[in-house]
Amino acid sequence: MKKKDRELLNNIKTSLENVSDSEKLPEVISKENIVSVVEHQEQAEKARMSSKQKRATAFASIAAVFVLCVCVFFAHRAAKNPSAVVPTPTTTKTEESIYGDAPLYQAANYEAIEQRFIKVAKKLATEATLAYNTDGLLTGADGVKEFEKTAEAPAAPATDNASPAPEGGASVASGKGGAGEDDFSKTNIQVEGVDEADIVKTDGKFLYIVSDDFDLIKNSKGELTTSSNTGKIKIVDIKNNEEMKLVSEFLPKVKNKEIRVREMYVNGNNLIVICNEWDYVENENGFKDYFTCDTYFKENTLVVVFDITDRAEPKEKGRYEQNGSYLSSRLIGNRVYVFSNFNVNVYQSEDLVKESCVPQCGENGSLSRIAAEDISVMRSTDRTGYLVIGSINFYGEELSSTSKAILGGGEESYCTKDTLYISNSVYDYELYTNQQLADEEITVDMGRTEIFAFLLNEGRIEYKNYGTVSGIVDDQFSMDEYNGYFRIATTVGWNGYSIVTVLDKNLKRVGELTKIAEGESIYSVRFIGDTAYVVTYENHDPLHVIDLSDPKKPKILGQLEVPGFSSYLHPISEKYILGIGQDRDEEGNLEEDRMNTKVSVFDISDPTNPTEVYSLILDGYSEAQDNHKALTVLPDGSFVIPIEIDSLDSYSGEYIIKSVRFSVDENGYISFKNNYYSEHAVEVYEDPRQQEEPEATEETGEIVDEGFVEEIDYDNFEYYNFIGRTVYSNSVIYNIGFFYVEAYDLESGEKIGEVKTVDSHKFLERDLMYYDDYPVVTNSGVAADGVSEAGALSETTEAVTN
Amino acid sequence: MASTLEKAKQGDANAFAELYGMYAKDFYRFALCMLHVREDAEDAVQDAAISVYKHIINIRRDENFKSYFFTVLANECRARLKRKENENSVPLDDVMPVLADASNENLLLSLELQQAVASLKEEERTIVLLSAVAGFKSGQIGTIMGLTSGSVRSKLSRSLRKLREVLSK
Repeated sequence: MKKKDRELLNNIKTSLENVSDSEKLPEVISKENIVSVVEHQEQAEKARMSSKQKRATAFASIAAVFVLCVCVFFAHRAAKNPSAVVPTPTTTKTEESIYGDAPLYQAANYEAIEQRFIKVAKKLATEATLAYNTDGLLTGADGVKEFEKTAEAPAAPATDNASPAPEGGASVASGKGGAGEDDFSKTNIQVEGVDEADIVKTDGKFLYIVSDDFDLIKNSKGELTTSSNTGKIKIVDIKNNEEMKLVSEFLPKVKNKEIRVREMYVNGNNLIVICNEWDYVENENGFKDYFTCDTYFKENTLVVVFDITDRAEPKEKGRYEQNGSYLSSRLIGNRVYVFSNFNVNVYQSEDLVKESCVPQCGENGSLSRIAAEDISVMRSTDRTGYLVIGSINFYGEELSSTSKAILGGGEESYCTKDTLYISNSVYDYELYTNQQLADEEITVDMGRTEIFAFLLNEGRIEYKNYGTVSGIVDDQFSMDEYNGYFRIATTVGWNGYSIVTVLDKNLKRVGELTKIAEGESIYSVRFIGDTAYVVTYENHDPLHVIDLSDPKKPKILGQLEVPGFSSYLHPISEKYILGIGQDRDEEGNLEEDRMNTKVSVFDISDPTNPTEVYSLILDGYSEAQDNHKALTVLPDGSFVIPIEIDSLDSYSGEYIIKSVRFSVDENGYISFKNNYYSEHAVEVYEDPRQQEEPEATEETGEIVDEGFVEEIDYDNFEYYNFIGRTVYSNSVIYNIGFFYVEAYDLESGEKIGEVKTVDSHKFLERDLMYYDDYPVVTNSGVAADGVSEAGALSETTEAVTN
Repeated sequence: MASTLEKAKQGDANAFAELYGMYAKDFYRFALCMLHVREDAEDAVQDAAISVYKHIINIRRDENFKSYFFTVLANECRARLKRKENENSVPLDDVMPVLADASNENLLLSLELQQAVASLKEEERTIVLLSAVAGFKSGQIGTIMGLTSGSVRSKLSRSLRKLREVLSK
């Protein structure tokens, strides 16, 4: 190890000791307390209660509870207090024949759910001996009756006629060449016909943008402050590119709540906006929020549908809310399906637990509990969080919705036109001995993935199946349904090995290919028909071609090793797939530590011998590496990605933002087409308060940093205009930046026009407000040196705001 | 004479606590730096202790106690982070100040260093902390994380280079 490396490690160690030694080891994990935790249940009860009650927030601790106390409750409930729950006998046989080894049950009634949560709360508070009882499956499921598929599920509200969107229905097409008459790009989606929400959409005539904007408002004392709501929808008229117009900017109205606009859909004259919504609630029980210390918040997912027939004056058509923080969503036909994670705070009084343990949802501001028969309970765990799924029909005069909740929670979602799969990773502490580590006698929990499957049937959501596989999924592209089989790729351990598992329609394992690329993790996956393309990475990028034509016996047909990796795979044709990722040297390092983006074309026509036909290495980072929605496919089949080149070094260096177009011809050759440069990249980052040149003092010759002076070059100051997406419409490329939308001629790359969508001075003012208290944060989020004196700064702030 | 580990294996909680106490601060520091929230770190350590105690029969030698504990703790932290990532409700920046008492100027430098560590990816952070806090060699870290020692070494040097870059800004 190099000397400087060792020094840095020592510094880290010392700096941590500084912090931790400034006080004693927290009481709850002191040596003495650990004795009682592992030994005496009664003492542990107290210790644990005190630990739990000190919790700052319900949310963080509940997240922890998921992991730490998976199976305690049911193991003990039957023995201890069976009378508290409505007993409904069930037989193990039926359970297994219908639902496999980890069945879900439909809740009998609210009381059963309430009792269950109260018991969980009590158990969590008292149970401390061992939280990881892995064989805690109960044979009888008291309080929950066997899940029966109701023959007559609630009638689909309104008529889900399949009439297409009147104009620009953005629900079909992955943007592949020449889809009908549309000459504009669409969000790059995974499954044909299943639209995904994004921060930018277009219908060829307008751009719809979710921007991280806010308002400056005066508080009750007359001081300038920022609005609590963040995010706004901006609609830009692009019919005349030389004079693009911002025709409206708005956000859903809320009372006494805080929202953050996340994503949206545009479907004809409907604009569907999805937000996180926080409802701050005073809490008398001593449960505190991280930020305010005297409130806690309920988090909801808010869906608001606007009628945008008049783009200048969008009208709210209706809204839908459901408990839980927004996870993801899909749009199919005339319905939006929205998924959220709802965690119940069990560290509060019994009454409050009862009150809040059933997820709520509803239209137009009136929330009510989801019907008990629409709630499925996992029999084998004492989890305290639900996955909530809402289905919203936005056609017709009024919204209508149905909802479903499953005790469990979710992470990644994969959705076909009629089936929704949601994955959830679980660490069960089913420790097993890892062969690799056998000599060290160490057993490691590598985690597993649960899969919940739901049928989507004209807006109804029907729970269908549950399955589980080893390892953890990377993203939505790790899942796929084809010919009645569900395929999923997972990585076991940190960089253990990867598995591709094939499950049947009941989510029972049919076959698997395991021990793929030991010592590496999955970076990207794409299933195309009978074949899986899996990229794993350590120092090299092996692209594995896996044949799934015999579901029982998946096998590796061929593999290709190239330096670097692809973190997204995009099918181009039967012969080629496109990979977007990074180029790395032989040791897996970035050359000269400069970020790059590598675009590769792989020839897959011979599955036993995949080859990299051509690659293009671009300077700078592209979000398309990490987010498939940042890749734009033009109707002519060419591609555009945003690029950010940041070689800023302290106060110098270059900063370039642009988008790059390239195309792939029939021989797999990538040709670079255009750069579309933003004119609003700040070339050199400077603190808004100008810094005086440090001068050498006469005596010592040392350079002394004089700090900041209080002048701001207000007129010329500009924030960098980060480009999130690039879209195409009618031979024009639009870079959607943070502050500006810039338009370019597709072929020449020349800039045609621009429009400012966000006032950057507002951001300057906001940042100055905070400078009194915080170190200056640069673009890269790193604290820079030199916090000037508070007094001088507040003067500055006044000067600006006056 | 039975070793402390042997006693712990026979269900002697005091013996277990003895072993635990030898490294408790390292466990806590590691968890704190991984999770940034004091309560979460406490929970992670407590839960790891419970799990290790249950599975202590798997540990053959005294000296393996520490790496076994860190293995469980690292997975604990990882599970919590994964869950948080999906909750998406508490931005990292907002919980950062919990790490240090920012009013104490002596700690400002270490705050900066910790923020730099926090900016690393989860896997990099784990490696750096297992190396700095626990003092493990690359082979041991590899065992804990299921990596080869060579890849731990290259990942560590890459992470440290990244740290230096962040700190020099």
